[in-house]
Amino acid sequence: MKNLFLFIVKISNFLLFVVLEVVAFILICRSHPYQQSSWLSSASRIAASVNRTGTDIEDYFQLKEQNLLLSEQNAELLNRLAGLQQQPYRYLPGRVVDMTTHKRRNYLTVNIGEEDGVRAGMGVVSQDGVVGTVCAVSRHFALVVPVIHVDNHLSCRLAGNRYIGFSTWEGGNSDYVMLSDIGRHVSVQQGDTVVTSGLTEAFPEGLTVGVVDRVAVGDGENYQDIRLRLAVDYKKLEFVDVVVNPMKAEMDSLYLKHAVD
Amino acid sequence: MQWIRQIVKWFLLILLQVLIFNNLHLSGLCHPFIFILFLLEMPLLPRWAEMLVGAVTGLMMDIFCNSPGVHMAACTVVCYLRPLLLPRLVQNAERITGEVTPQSIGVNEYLRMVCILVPLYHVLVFVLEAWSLHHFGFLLAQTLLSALVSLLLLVGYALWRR
Repeated sequence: MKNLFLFIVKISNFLLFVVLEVVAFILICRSHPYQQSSWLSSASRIAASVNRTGTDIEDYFQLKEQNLLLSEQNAELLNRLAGLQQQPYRYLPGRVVDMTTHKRRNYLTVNIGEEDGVRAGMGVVSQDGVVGTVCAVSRHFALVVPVIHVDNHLSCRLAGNRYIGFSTWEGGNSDYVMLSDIGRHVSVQQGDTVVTSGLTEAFPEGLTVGVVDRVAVGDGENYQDIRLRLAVDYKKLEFVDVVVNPMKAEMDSLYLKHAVD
Repeated sequence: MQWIRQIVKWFLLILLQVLIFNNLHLSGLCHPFIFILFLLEMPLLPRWAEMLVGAVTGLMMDIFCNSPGVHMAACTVVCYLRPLLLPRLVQNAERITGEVTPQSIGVNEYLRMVCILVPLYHVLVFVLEAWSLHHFGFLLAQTLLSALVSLLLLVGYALWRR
């Protein structure tokens, strides 16, 4: 018994090492975009405020460019206003304070949160097109899973012939995603526009996702390999809008009721 | 006084990493992690304490990088290995007091330690983050380039201080 005790004392450092590694691996395995707790991410208050300070400092060096961008965006927004008035959706303007594009699981943090009306599951768009989906919110910040995240699949539609597929991203270049589930009989041309399908309540129908960049059909394959060039350039992304769908609660309760029945 | 200096150094290196080095988007490949300078240089402590410091530092970095567990695992490995590595590089390693710096253990020994632990750290972080060897070429290029840039920065800093 005494020997056993001595042995444990002797390898106690190694045991602590193993325990710490196990904790770390549990954290790694558990991290799924839709279960991410907001305190262990850049949406947490401390991390977000540090990142925001960094962004504030950057701002001073980019004021001129920013002004130009804002005025362009203003014009664009005014143009869109007419169209928006017929839709039930509302848009909450926000700003990206932190983002990664090089990993397989990328996230971005925006500076609006629960107090501004943002909830998990809402869509996020920029003036160029679809950005991603909100996965966690804290009081003043929201964490967004972009289209360039291996676990994020966005329901899309070919604007021309209305066929429906979904986006897939497997890492690498943040400018391109694959469009899956388009059968080989569907005619797809390079340059075709791909838009949101409107089948999820997060996005209105017809928002630009990207443009078909390359089409290939393998021998004996039922589906085409379609590569899209994303409309949004994540590396330059700064201003985004969170999409609020006032009908979402009603739709959710309908699904829930159906599931219970 | 020593303690305050270490705490200040910890905060400064984390801020430097988060505000500057995490925002270097050089072709999506180059992501140097220089904050581990703190873990490489911290004064020798009981091994359990070093590992705990490593785990907490890594977790802090994970919060900023949205990668729960990745930096924690890698930092813990570095802190577990450093006390095993030092006696092999330096004679009388137990007599080192204060920080482990080029002055306190000798430039050659210091550079050797950095050249072992820094690339190891980058390999661990990028492999754990990708969690697969799917895009192996991209992963390899990312790891090599990032580790190289970190090494250049840390070795440059060490030589400059000498």
